[in-house]
Amino acid sequence: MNRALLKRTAVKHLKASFGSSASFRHGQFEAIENVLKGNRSLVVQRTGWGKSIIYFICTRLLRDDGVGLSIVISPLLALMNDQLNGSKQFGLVSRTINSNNREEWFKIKNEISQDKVDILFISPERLSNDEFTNDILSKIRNNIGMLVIDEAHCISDWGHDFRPDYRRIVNVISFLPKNVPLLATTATANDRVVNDIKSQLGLNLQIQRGPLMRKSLALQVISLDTKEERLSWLVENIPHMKGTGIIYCLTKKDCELVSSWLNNNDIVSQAYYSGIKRDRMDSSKLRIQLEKNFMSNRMKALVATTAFGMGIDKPDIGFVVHFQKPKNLVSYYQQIGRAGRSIRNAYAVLLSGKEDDEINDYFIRSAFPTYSEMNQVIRFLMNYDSLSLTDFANHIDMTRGKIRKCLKFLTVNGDIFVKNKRYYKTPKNWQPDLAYSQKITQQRYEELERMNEFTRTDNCYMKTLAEELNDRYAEECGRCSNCLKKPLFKVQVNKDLVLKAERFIKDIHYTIKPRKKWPAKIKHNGKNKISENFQSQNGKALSNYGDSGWGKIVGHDKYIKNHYREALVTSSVKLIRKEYNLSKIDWITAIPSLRHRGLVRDFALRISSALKIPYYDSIMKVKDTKQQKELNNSYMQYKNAWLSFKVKDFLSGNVLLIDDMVDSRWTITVCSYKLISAGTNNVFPFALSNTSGFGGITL
Amino acid sequence: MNKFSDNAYVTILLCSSIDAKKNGYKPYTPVKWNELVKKIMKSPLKEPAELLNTEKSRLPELLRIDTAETERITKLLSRGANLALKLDEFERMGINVITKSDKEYPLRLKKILKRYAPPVLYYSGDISLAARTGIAIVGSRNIDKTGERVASTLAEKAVDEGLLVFSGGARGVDVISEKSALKKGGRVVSFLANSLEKKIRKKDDRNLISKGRLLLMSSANPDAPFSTGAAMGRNKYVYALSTGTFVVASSFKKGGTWAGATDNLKNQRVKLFVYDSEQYTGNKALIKRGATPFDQVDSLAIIDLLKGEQLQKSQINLFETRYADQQHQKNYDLYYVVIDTILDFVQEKKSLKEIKEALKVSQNQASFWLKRAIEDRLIEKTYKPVKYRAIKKSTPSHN
Repeated sequence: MNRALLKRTAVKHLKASFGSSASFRHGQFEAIENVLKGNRSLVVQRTGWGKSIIYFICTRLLRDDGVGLSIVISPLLALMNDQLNGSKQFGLVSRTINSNNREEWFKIKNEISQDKVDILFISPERLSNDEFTNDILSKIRNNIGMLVIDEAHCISDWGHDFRPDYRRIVNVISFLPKNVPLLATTATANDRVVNDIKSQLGLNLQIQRGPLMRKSLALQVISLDTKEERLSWLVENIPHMKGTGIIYCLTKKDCELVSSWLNNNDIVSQAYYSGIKRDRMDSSKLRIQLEKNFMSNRMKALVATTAFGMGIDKPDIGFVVHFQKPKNLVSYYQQIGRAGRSIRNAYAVLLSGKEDDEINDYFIRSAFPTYSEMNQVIRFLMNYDSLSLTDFANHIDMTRGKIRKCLKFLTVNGDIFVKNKRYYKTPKNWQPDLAYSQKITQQRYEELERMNEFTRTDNCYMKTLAEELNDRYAEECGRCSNCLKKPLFKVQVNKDLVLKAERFIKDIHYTIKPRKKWPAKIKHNGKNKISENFQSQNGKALSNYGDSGWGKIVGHDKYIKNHYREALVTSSVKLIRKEYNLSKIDWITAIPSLRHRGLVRDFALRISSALKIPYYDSIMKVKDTKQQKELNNSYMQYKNAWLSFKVKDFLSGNVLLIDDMVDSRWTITVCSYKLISAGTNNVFPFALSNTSGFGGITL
Repeated sequence: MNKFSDNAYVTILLCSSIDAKKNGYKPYTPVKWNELVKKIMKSPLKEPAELLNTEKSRLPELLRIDTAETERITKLLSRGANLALKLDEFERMGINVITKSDKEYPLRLKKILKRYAPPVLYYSGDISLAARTGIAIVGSRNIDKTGERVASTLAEKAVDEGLLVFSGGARGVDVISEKSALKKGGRVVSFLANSLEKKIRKKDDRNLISKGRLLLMSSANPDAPFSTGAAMGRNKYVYALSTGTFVVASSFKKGGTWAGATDNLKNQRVKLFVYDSEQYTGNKALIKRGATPFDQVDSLAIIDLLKGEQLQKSQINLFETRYADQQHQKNYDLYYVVIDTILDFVQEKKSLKEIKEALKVSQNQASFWLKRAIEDRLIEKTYKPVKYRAIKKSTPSHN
């Protein structure tokens, strides 16, 4: 088709969808033309510019020509939902295959085999799933017409959001002949990233770039060391911000903490993160509900992790506050970029605290598997044709999550492949690419350092960000606290409010719920399930945070003083009186430790004295096994506990079982089971601190 | 960064059966591909790569092909994305693709097979193994103890002499040879008929592949199931890769081993050595048709054997008989000249009248020759009615 005809047809489609006065933005038609000509194209434009229109129209034209469907690879669910609707305007039928809509797969497969689907949105993980390729792709009757890679910066190691699954996409593309149209899009990419994408996807890449500055945003950075101070700042300042907004936290626990604190202070907010659960509601359905609530202004602030945002296009977000420093400037830019799209004034405030570096550091360190971890996995697999994840978990002391991460890394590297949920070693010689993970880790530390410099700068914040992205149009914004040389919001916090926040943190107690099953394939009394009368009862831990409030104090007392201070006894007694039915407790006992002799016993004795309930030793530690906290894997922790503890005979009554730290709950589960087997009636656990999940940082 | 040159891409798109069947467009066979390439080279396009740049409407005139073939080419060429996904999946398992236009493509295949060389090959392991000097050891799937010993001894000898062992990965002689060679510390190239992707999932094979001792190859789609056609087809590839092929056991006029060996002799491709024994019905016949016999396996010097033999130029040599010791004497006894023809005719029992009419000799003459053949225990006489039949050696049936 010649150029003039192509333009007329494209414009016709545009007008048909958006009205007769619609016209292409500068660059949109050029991109369409390039892609259809077979020039692999990268489009770098801010969100909202209309990148998806390019591939909607390309698909429309290709389909009219009898070509097969387009595949759009995108990492984000929210984005996919938006686009599914957007394509309808062009008369295109879009479908998505992801882990959340399995029940629709059958129907969609049929539609695909009848060539009724025009665009298929999938996540990169799906592409490497052999179930997907063999099952669904093979149904594509007509050949795949076009490939679109959304959020293409994920391909780049230098990209702020590098994802291993994107490396696979690069590999697929290296097998792509040049007669298949390919389009890559992203909203954030600096020169280094663009060059990287260029070299990975093929040299004849046409690039479109556009201005990235956000004129409506006013930025400020405030340094507040502790969580309590930042919580207090939020309560004092959020009510003065117009409209609704987002508060970003680094961890899920913090999202829960911040949103419950805000609600406690009459600021309507909800938490949002991946895997969020409420009342048995399905996580993805809940997230969609929360997104809807946010869009319809049913709250003042949504408190979220980075799981929220990409593709969300709410034009009137009035503020974006960061509760902790994000890991790099590009992420920061992306996150604040959600505010002020169609309003004139919006605020972005970054609260930076002392714990931020520690948290970011943890994420950086745990991103890549270590040589030792990968070595364990590979050496074990060498002896078998194939293994399942459980096989690994039962023999290697790593959490399932860590094992999965190892397997993923090794798969992307070509050392392992997956088929039908079983892992096979490839015929390749295993040589760990440590240089690669070291390079990336180093980069991430550098990016974190640049983030730190940003928080300390006296220059215009907006300009600094724009320059980081190599925006050619970067200039002073004139609105941020540095340009104005005065704060946009108060920097001091109210001391009373800080105390109130501190108490609030301390008052969040963790409920210790009983475990109901032994690890996979383990049986006692012939059963893998733990019968109800052998389970522990619900219990409490004084502190839910290893890193704040009581948690910090517990850690200090255990490892430095080897003695728990009186304040801990007093608060524990208060909590026990409040939450336990003392009339039902007959005696108290402690979990022994060979390493911290007498620490917990001494603590339990003081509790016993304060409550006036007798204390008896009943559990013995039989060997100096590993500390539970050194073990990572559920099965290993169970085994360790099972072998370590022995219980006296001929017990009876209801007992309050005290330990200082609870993590995997295997110690409590095993001890309760053994106590009950020896004659005890009910076991009520109590602990000083819950150290599970992140929050388990010790000194 | 692209994995293949454009020429290689076009070769794969047009000749590989990956993801091709469902549209009903068949990929090109080696011979037909060769023809197409010739057409392309003569045309303004010059190279297959140019097909990616050419509008489909111009193909009929440029290449002088009809609309049906244009449709076929266009449809095959347009499955690039589907193919890329599959090739990536294979690569992640450790299976690679190579085409005739790539420089690591085994030269001997091109040289010996010419237009029959497979345009696309799939492999797992070090492809350079296929270029090494070595012998192929082939034979029946059902093999007795003697045959097993011959195969394994041969394989071990090859390893001792620094030769690589090529074979077809089939049950029986192939597998025995391969295993023996590997056990002895040697290297093996196994050219499979099918199911390449199943084979690499076995830990023993994959460990050997990563050590560089084993190369698996196939011209069939890695996840193709077994097909007799593919099994037969790949025999010539095994032969062509080798410097000399050794047949341990073959049936007579049936089965893959026989077909592969006679095909090789007919086309005079590669030196062929056949185990000299009557235990396997086809072996002697192959020797008669031009294969070199070998038997003292324990004292075999393979390289000498390979060097010493001239390839038989003629096909069935009328002056070669099963009476080897007679060869060196001047012998005008026509009985020796005609006996094979007679035996051929009486594979099914025939009456004297039928025999004389076929041979175009007098009844007396025919009768005279038949009597000698009976004495030599080559023919038996059946009664009621009287008929003559070649005596079949009873051996287990193969293939």
